[in-house]
Amino acid sequence: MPKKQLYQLVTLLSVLAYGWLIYNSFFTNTSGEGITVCWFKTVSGLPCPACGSTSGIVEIFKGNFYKAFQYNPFAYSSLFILIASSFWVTYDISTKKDGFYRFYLTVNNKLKKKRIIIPIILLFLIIWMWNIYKAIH
Amino acid sequence: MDTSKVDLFLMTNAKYFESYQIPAIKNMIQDLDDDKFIVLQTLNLKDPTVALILSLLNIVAPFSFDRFFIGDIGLGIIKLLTCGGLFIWIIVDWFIIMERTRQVNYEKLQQALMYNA
Repeated sequence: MPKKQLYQLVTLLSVLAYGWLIYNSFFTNTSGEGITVCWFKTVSGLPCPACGSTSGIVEIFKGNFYKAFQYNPFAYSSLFILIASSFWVTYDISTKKDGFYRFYLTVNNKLKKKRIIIPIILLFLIIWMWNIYKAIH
Repeated sequence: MDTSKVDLFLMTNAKYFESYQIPAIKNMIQDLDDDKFIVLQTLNLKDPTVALILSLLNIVAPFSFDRFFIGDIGLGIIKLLTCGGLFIWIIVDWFIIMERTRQVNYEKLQQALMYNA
């Protein structure tokens, strides 16, 4: 992927994500009944592996770390990736460097190894099953 | 390399590349030695049609099969974490995944030629 395209994508996703988080933190009531944007949940009734991340991140902002973990453990990783990548890209664009791009290429090559990607996929499946279990009970 | 071999390679593998890349590829492999032909034949090129089918399969389950298949694993994980980019990314990928696959194939060919030239 060319550098410019990657930076545009990260900028777009970060802006959308920050907007979505601000909307959820300040403009929804605290009963936990926000609007569902997950098309998979709307169609099939079952949660997807990432469902619950938004509620989790909002709980992290409030300081309820255990409750955030209960919603979805990916809340932590998503928040970390969002903050790290958005700051790094802003830094790269303002100083005209390409550190984030080189880091992305390195990580992409590392992830092609079977012993790294298989545990990640297993983790996704386990959390998905946990999500479905929570939705049923 | 022999002209017949160049033509053979281009004929059998044209669908893996964009049409505007073909002249550049021809120039690149014409300068190669004959014994490098086996390197070209064993390149693990990805079929754009398979990528499109996998991309369409993303409606059934919110996984990013297409991105994993062509080797954009970092983006694949981000796509998974955002539930298919709220479905928007999935739809966008139906239209751009074939072009992206051909681009990945071209990069792969360039890399292989760089190491074996």
